[in-house]
This record gives sequence, structure tokens and C-alpha cells, in this order.
Amino acid sequence: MLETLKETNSSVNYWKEIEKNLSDELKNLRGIVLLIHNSMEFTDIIDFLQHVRQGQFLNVLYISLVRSYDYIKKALELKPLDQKRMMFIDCVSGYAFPIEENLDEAFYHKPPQNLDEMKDIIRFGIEKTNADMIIIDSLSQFISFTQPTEDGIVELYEFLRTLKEGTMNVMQNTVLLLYDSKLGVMQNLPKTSMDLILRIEIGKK
Amino acid sequence: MSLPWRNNLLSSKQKIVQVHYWKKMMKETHEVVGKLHGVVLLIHNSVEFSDIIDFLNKIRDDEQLLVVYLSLINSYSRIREVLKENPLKSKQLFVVDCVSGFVVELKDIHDCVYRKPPINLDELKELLLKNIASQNPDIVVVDSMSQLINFSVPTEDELSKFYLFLHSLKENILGLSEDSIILLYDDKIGQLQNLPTISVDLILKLEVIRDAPRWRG
Repeated sequence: MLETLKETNSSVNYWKEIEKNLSDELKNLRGIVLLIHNSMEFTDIIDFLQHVRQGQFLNVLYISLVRSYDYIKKALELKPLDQKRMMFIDCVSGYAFPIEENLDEAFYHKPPQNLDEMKDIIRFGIEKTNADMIIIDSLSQFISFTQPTEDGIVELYEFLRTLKEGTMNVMQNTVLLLYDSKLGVMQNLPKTSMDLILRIEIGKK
Repeated sequence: MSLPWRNNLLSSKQKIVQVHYWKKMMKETHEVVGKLHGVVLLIHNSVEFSDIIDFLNKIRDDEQLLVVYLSLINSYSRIREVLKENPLKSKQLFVVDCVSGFVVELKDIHDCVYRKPPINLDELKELLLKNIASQNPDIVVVDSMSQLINFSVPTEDELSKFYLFLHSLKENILGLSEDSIILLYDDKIGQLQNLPTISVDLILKLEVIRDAPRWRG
């Protein structure tokens, strides 16, 4: 059982700028990866995905809690993704489509209320798509690293543990957990449970 | 015909200036910081001087090194005070105090010289070169570049002068491949739009979050 202990302390994070080596860093991306971003657009996510495991043809399962399939499809028409077959579980339009309708590349689902329900959606998606890469957009729907509750942290660690173990066994594959940092300064990152933590800062004017 | 979703997707009113990719260092911190060489830009979130000492202690901790610390932020007396509580291991510090020198004329001592603060990068370069020549340090720290340049809204002229400054540092300082120049930059001014990714050997970000609730799993 996961035991948590809360104490007051300072947290130190070291980050290395990797633009020069981005392709090398991402070409063999495996395991559970937390991708923190500053409210990037879906087209920016496509740009990032172009670098991930470049040169390999991948089945990608994209579980969206923030953008509808309709919106994503239009973005992909505008900016196609090479060498990746994208399949979606749209948990946004799921409100409008309470009964799942099986399309070629998209499933509709009601938005999960918690990470337990998210596990079920992932299992469902893996069965349907046999994905090499799973993207969850976004973890910020379940937890805030700015003011995380103890229960929230326990639930997150349990979720990550399930992803690594058991039937999901994602370690051969890639699980990308997107997190929007607009909520505020991230007090504590789940360092021990992630294989890699990346951060993208997009400067716009 | 106008396509509203297309306009929305492109967000045409906002232009992407630069995209920065950062990797959280976990096990490799020791490897990267421990063997630090070359010109390093260290961006931080208004860390305290004691945090900078912690950082310096991680660098090449198996060698006896001389550090020239050019300070535009902390006075020599403040630095000494902090060092009593947080000693610098395996490193000797020589301070170029550009804070106290501005207020009152003080006499140079064996581990500190007092100088007026440089008002531009040319003056900073001159000051660095003089002290490097006299001390022959292994590590040079400039605290902080934020006093002279703002990467949030830099003009082309400012960036070009900064690149020249970096280029000149590399050209004029012999043995740089063996040594380190650490340029501190406090990002409290705002989100960094332009980073000099080409002209520096490494860009690191140090984030210290005080009084954070910590969970152990």
C-alpha cells in the first residue's frame, strides 16, 4: 500500500534545455512521460509528436479530455502527422453522444470522473487499437501540482503503478501524460513514478 | 470563404517566437552538473545565494577549484555571511563585489575586490577579463546577467550585443574548454522569449520552490 507523508520543505528541480538534442531525446521515447506545457495548441502538440520515435510507424491512441475529435480532425487536416496512425477516444463530445458510436478512428466516451475511470478507458482503448503510444490530454483534469491533495497524489501514484504493471504493461510502449501548467507554480512533481519529465514553453507574441 | 475553425486553429494573431524544450534532470544531474564545462546559462527563479552555493558544490566536487564570483546582486559581506552557514566545499571563492563598490570606497582584500557595476556588456567583459587574468580561475560566475539583459523582450540590438559578448568571452579566455563560465539569469522579469541556444554550451534551469508540501510514496 502506498504510504504518504506530508512535510514542509523546499523542492529543487534542475531542467536542461534540449532543443539541440531534441530528436535524439525523443527518438526512443519509452515508458511514462509527463509532458508539461504552457497551454499549447493542438497544432503545437502535432509538432512535438513529429519528433517522437521518428522513423517508426506507430499506432497512437489519443484520449482527449479537452478537445473534441471534430476539432482535432480539422487540425490534422491542416497539419498532418507523419508515420503515425492516430485513433481517438473523445471524452469531450461524449456528453453529446452518450451512446458510443464506433467510427473508423474515433470512439466517444463520457469524461472520466477520476483516474480509476481513466484506467478503464485506457484498457478499452488498448483492446480496440493495440496502440504503441497512448496520449492522455490532459492530466490537469484530475490533479493540480500547484496544490495537490494527499488523496490526489495517492490516486495518481496508484494510477501510474497500474500503468506500469498488470495488464497494461506499458513499459514497452510510450505513455504521454500532458499537463497544462497554467494552474500555477508546480510545487511538487511526481518524480519517482515518471520515467521522464519534459516541459515545453512556447513563447508567443 | 472564411473558415472560423481554421482561423481558430492557426491563432493567426499570435506568432510563435520560440519554443523551448526542457528535460527534468533526475539521475543525470550529477553527470551534467558534476562535469560542467564551457559557457553555461543558468536560469533560476529568484533563488537565494545559498541555493547557488548548493549548485556550485555539485560542480566537479573532486577537484580543488578557484571560483571568481562577479556579483552585481549580493555584497561581499552578505556572501561571507551566507558562506558561514553554507560552506563552499573544495572551492575557493574570489569575489568581485560590484554592489558595495557603488556605495562607498572600500579597500580590496585577498579574496575580494570592490568595483563599480558595469553598465553594459562591454564593461562587464573588461571587468571579467581583468579578473580572470589576475586570478586564473577554473570557474567564473556572473550574478546576474538579468542586470544587463532581459530575455523576455530583448531587442535585436540587445541580442546581437549579447551574442558578441559570448563570442568574445569564448575567444579571449584561454582554456575555456577546461573551464566554466556560469552566467546566472533570474527569470522573474517574465517568460523567456529568446534564449541564446546557439552561443552557449548548456542552458540549465534551477527551480527552487520553498515550503512546498512534499509527499513520499
